[in-house]
Amino acid sequence: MAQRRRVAMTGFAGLDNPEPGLAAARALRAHWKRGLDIEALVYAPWSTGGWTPGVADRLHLIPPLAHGELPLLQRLLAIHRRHPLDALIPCLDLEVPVYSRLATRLARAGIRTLLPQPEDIAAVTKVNLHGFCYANQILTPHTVYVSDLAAVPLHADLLGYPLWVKGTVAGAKKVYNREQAVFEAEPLAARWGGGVLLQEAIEGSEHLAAMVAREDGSCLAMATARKLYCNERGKGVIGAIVDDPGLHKLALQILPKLHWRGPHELEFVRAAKSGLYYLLEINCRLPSWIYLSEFAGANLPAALLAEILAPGRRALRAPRVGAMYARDVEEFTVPVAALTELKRSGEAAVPVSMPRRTCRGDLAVAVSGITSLELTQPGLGVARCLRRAPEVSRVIGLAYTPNDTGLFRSADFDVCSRLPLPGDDADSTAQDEATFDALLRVKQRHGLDVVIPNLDLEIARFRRLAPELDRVGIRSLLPDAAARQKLSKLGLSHLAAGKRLGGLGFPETAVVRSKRDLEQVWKRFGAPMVLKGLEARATRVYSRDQALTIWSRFREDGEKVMLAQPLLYGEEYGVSLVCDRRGRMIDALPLKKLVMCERGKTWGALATPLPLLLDQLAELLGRIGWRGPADVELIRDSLTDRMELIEINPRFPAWIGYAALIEVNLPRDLVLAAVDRPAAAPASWRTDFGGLVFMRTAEEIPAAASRMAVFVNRGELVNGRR
Amino acid sequence: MSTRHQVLRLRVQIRAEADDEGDGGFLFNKQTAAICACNGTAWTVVQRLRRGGEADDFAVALVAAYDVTAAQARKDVLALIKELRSLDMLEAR
Repeated sequence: MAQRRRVAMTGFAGLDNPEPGLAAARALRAHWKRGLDIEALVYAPWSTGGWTPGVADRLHLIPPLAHGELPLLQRLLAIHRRHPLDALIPCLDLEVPVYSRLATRLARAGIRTLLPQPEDIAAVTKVNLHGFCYANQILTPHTVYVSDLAAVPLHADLLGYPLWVKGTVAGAKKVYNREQAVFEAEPLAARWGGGVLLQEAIEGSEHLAAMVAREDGSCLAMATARKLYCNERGKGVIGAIVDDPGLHKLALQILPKLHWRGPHELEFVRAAKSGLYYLLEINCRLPSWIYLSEFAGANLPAALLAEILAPGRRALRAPRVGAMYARDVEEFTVPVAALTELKRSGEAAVPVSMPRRTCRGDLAVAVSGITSLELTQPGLGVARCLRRAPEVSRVIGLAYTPNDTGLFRSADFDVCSRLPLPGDDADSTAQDEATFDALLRVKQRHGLDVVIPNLDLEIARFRRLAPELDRVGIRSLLPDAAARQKLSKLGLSHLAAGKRLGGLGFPETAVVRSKRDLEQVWKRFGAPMVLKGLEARATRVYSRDQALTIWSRFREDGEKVMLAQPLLYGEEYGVSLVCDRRGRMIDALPLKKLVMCERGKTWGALATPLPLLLDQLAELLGRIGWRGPADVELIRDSLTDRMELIEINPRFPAWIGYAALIEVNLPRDLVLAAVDRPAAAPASWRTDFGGLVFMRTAEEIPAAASRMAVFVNRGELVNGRR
Repeated sequence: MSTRHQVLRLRVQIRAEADDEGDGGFLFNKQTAAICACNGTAWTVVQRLRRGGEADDFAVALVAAYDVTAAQARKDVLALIKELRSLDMLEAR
């Protein structure tokens, strides 16, 4: 019988920009279903990746790197005494030099690592990479390190636009002019320290090589991939294994120049004009897409751990070309008690997950908004809720593009059907007809009783279509145009001005239609201030220049009217709710937001009974005659302790998957109300939600070109279970 | 030399996979990961591109398989060839 092994790993935080530890741990777990304990080393209890069911066995709090190497070593040795470790795999760039310096002392205690020397890591940091490439005749984009932010405009102008503004450790933003360069440089420098890098933007495709080098520097394993889809932040969220001999050869040529041991990632851009590869970055750890290597049958994390445990292994076979991943999300709950235990003792076991119950009723329900490539869309959570609704037999995903991650979630969707991409206003009639035809086709082929649109930009279209859909037996439940208008961002400010929000607070608000308006509100509110588009966006600004930059950017994107509010500080809350056709609030799930990603979306939360708030919302919504779902956002002002209403969206929130996990299945309530069946919700507001915390992590899932092609060619993708 | 009289063939690194249930398929460039979904008409041409041939031959195959005029078939073939070239999926002799 094989010996049981135990490995400690880091890199379980990061939320929507995931640190690589979770992906590496998933790959190890896929390889060693039994016989391996994974200890997740985390800096904060809210490292959601560490809590992911079925991956790590335990979480351990470790001191921040800023506290120095000795406290870290002492903590590792304390963990080692309780849970003897065979190996340690650090998965964050900043940690690798630290663990490298500790490697000898760790080895004496019996904890093995495979890491490069600190001086070899220093040679290829982002700041030093340009010099390394010059010395070794490796093509790289022209890069300038700017330690003084005052010099950013000068160097940016000299480099020309567009260019990348990069943090010294991580983070990158593409900018198109001097103002944007300064705007993006400030937060990157503040976060990562030491100034910023300005890098020439070379147009082309992005390619990656993940490698593991043996102790002697030779290549144990390599996987080369191409980013097929990058999100707004430039992160590769769909990628595929490629077999490019040129890239392979280049990576192997660079390897001996690095004098490397252990894992690393080379990032290249292949210039569209010349076809030449330019080295963009070297990361001294496994990449966050590394789970792809498991899909491709050449598991690099497993090869790394095997090499650490028994050095001198044979080279890993080449990964399967064409294997593909898409970055989706996984949502689950963790008992409050487990989090408390981690905070109290510094260690907690990852709770065992319960298998998901799926029900087979008589209703077919279609949901839109089923991707997480940019922001996590609510349709993914709605679908998971519907899977647990006893009345629902089939869940149909309505997707817009072959990249939508829901296409690869066959457990959540019986069928995925294509909706026509939203056009401009002039096309609304054609768009309505195309949408109606698409839904009718779904009904004829698979049955369809209820449709739940989950994207803001769809609501008006589905509202217009509702009577016609109803005639063919497809029900929906949405607020009418008047109700929507009354509770829009602008409408709420009018209601607040007339003191007609029924006891709910609302922040002081000004409408900005011109630059002059902006100057005036800047004088009135000062910094920090929030600028909001009427439809979707909101950005915090901390200076007049930032306010002007954001105002210009919103206007360029078509937002001619904006709202300005002073920034409120306080805990953020959300309420998801459903109203029936008469405007009666059937049920609601209030929660406190505990973990927010960089883009302000909820990745951790706790359901919290707020009966007074629900009474106030029920009164307001009843008075307005609201129908269907709503996502209410609030802040409890830390100064006044008053709950301030921020906005109301006419759809479920992206965290709605939590609802079914704690048995408050609001999408089920909506379906029942839409088909005029009795509600399943209790008669009074719930006051006990079971003490389960909502958490979300990124999850790389297998994607396939064949599924994308079928979706493109046939307009639908039918999964096995019918 | 115009596209019409060149012998065109899928590059060796292109994998062509038929849709088991439909009449189309997709092409995947193993070096660049470029993907091209092909409907039934395009797939008819792709079948011939695997063996190699001229654009006019492909148009004839389309006319034989579908209710389409020779002019339309030629136009469709040239559009597909342009698309595949932009994805670096074709080689010409």
